[in-house]
Amino acid sequence: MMGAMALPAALLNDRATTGRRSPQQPMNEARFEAFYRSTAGSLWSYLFRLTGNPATADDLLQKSFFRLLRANPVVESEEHLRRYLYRAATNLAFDHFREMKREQGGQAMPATFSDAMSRDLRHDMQRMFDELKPQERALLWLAHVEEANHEEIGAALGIKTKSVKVMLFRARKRLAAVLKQYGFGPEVAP
Amino acid sequence: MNTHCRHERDVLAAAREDGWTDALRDHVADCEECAAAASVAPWMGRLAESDVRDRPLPPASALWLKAQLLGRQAAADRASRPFTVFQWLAYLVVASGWAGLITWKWTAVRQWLLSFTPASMIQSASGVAPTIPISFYIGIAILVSVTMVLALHTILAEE
Repeated sequence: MMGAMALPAALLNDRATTGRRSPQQPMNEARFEAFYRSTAGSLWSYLFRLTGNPATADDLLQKSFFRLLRANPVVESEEHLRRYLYRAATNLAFDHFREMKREQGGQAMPATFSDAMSRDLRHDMQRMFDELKPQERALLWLAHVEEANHEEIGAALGIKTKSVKVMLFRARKRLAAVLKQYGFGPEVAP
Repeated sequence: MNTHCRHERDVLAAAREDGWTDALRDHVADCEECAAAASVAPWMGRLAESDVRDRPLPPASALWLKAQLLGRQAAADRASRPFTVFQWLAYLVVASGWAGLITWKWTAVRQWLLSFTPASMIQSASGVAPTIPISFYIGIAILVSVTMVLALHTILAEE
């Protein structure tokens, strides 16, 4: 999805009129709105699954977009901006985890989801997902939900593309083990 | 182990949409990587479908406006940095001036302070009090003026 998503009209205007690849354009409000509409929902879900806390996801979402705008990017392609945005969001999320860990004196992080969700089945799914390390959650979410390829995952997480395959394999094995622990058998081809 | 399995995307799509073919089933049976992907793909799909956002996202226009304001604030901070440095230098110069004057004219300062005691006032009235050099008063006047200008500038700049 990261690579397959269609470009919004505002980002395509130049390409449509000239019939060739659009030159690098500075970001303006219309381009930003189009980009925001196409990415904010999925980025929020990613941040929420990474942090387990909707308020933190809201906060990090805004910070990610501020960071993108502060970098004063040129609109080379939506893909380019998307990669930058996911990289910024991942860094901010990992900074958040480090800060939480420091505040808790290096102890293991407790689950951060709200009590309001605790009666929900979704909470149980998030709890299982939270058993994984943040990087494993990020890898799985990007691979399975965003349908990002290994290069895109590597760019978002700041790791080598070659390492993604091994790390993703381990993350999948870890999730399978967690699911098994909670009574979910392996779901393989019928 | 460093090469991406070319069937992984097909396996993920099949697991997601339950569109298994015999060829893919055979492949998953042989490929450890794809088997691991297929084993968690349906659960990841359900996790993604359980949308938990119970409030709308902030509007893009609000974020854009806030980013512009933050950007202008940052630009203003950058632009005012030389003035801030100059202001601190001015504080330093004035403080050094006061310290220098007090050290240089310590005897005069002492005399001036003692002139406020009742005994000195009587002596002064009888015309026997020691005189304080005029350079001391000039120095005080200059430093008071500069200090007041600096203080006024600081207050106005903050406002």
